[in-house]
Amino acid sequence: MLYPKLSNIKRNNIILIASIAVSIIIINILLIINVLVDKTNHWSMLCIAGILYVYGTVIYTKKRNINIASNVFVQCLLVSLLLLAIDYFIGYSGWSVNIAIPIVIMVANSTLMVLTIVSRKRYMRYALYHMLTFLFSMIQLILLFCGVLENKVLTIVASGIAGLSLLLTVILCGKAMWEETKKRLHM
Amino acid sequence: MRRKEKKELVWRRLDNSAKIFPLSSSRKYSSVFRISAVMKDKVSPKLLEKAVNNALNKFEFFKVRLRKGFFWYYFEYNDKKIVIEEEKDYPCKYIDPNTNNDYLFKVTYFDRKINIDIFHSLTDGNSAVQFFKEIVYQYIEIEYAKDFKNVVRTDRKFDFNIEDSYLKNYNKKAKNNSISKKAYILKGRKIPFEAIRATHEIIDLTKLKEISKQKEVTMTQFLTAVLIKAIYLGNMKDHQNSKPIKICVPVNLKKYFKSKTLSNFFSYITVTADGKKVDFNNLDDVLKLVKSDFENLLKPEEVMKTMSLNVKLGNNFFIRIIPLFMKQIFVRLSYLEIRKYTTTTFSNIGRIGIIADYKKYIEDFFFLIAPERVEKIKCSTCSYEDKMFFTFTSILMQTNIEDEFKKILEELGIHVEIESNGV
Repeated sequence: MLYPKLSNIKRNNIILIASIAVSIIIINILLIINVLVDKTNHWSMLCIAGILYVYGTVIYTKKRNINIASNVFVQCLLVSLLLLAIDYFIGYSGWSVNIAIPIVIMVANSTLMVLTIVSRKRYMRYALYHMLTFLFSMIQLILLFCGVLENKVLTIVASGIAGLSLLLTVILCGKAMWEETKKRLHM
Repeated sequence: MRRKEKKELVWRRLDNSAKIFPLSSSRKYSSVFRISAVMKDKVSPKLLEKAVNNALNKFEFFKVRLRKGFFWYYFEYNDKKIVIEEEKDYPCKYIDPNTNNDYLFKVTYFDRKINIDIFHSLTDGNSAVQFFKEIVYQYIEIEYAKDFKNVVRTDRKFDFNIEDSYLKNYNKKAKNNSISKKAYILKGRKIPFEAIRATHEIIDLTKLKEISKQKEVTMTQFLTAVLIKAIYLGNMKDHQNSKPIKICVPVNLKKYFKSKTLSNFFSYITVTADGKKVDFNNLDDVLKLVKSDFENLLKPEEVMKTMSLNVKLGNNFFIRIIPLFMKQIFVRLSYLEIRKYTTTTFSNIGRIGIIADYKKYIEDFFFLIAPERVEKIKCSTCSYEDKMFFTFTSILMQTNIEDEFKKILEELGIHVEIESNGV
């Protein structure tokens, strides 16, 4: 016998499809209840934002469960979006961009700084995500210069940590960063 | 391996052919090919893992994963553990890097058979055979250690490098002046559940050689002609269609340009059999056409032209600066159209030469390529000892083409045995 006996291999991830279907049903139920019971508060949108965040996290983690730095960057991005959404749907008072997101940026950059120090040899894998996290952090600084933000202190501290983290990385792993840039941008 | 090449193993660009595969591939268009060896005894997974690791130490070229850059994909050194699994899927299926420690090839085993499925971006059939032979040699040396105690393998020295031979050899001034017509696309119901049927037609090589010689054609030309007739009788005859049957035949450029690269270095020719010009029922008529097409298209200047045009396209400045995600969209859209210009592909990797002392442990070799939605059947062949292994990989329910192929050969007095995966 040359081949194993295979019968009707189903390739689709049944659990993922089922959970997406259940989520869609829940989202619809929440929307209907929200519209029928309380039209002024968009509380159902908070739940939907939460569900989307969970999907973003699960799908990404399932795909790449090895590179810590990539998870730090993706979490930084997703958590920031979630916070922004929560702030927006409960009547935007700006706490997300003034307080919460700068804290997320501080935590993300500090984590990457620690990662750089403890695993310099593996830094090559982290370099791209470190650079992306730094670029993401700079959005806050741009918003500050545009006058969108009220609380300047936290943003300045967060951007300072991001800059410091990148500077430390350049000093410790500048060559690796350059190599990574060359690889990623080769034409 | 020289220091410069060792350094290049950390990361390297994809060669000109390799660039296209990750852009066009998906679960339904895997761009994977398989080489299998049927051993005389049951395969031991532990020993196989050891053999693969030993082979990988010699062929570090294959120790890579595919990474995304901003403009192009690239290969990066992969130091993860190799995964050896029992065969539990259809042949030539998409290799999911998440299930395979990011390797671009997958080694599986079943009973007495060792398989290697390779993503075409990594290498071509020619170099894959060299790597697979090394795995088989290593396996035999470990499994039958007693027999090889004092034996130093006197393998013909396989000298190789990892250069992009396309860039080294292409002609910048080559121009395209050919106009191509769409091809006949095979019709029929597809097998459900994304299954692939593999049908191996094991042909008596001595008789095949004899008949080919009689007809004054090469074996590849002969089998191409038989395939065209089989497609006509088994599929096209029942669906009145004026489009020509077009067979895409990959060409090993390493012979043309004396290249020693392990990277892809192949081109292709397209044999066109138009029903208005040839009588499909008359094999000699088809043979005449195939022979003439092969002779014309395999002229060095023609081979150079086809190869150069592809390289020029990949090197075009305006294509290079398009971000990768946009390239992917363009390539996938254009592939929907490009695929309509070929009825099927027939790839012949030739004779698999094994050192005499190792032959007694190996029974057969097979070579398979992945079919897809448009080219629903693909054909591949290799020979070992006195057998030619012609394989149909198909997603069609009907087996008419396979049956007609066998019938035509048997009518000519060539003995054919059939093996399949039972789909």
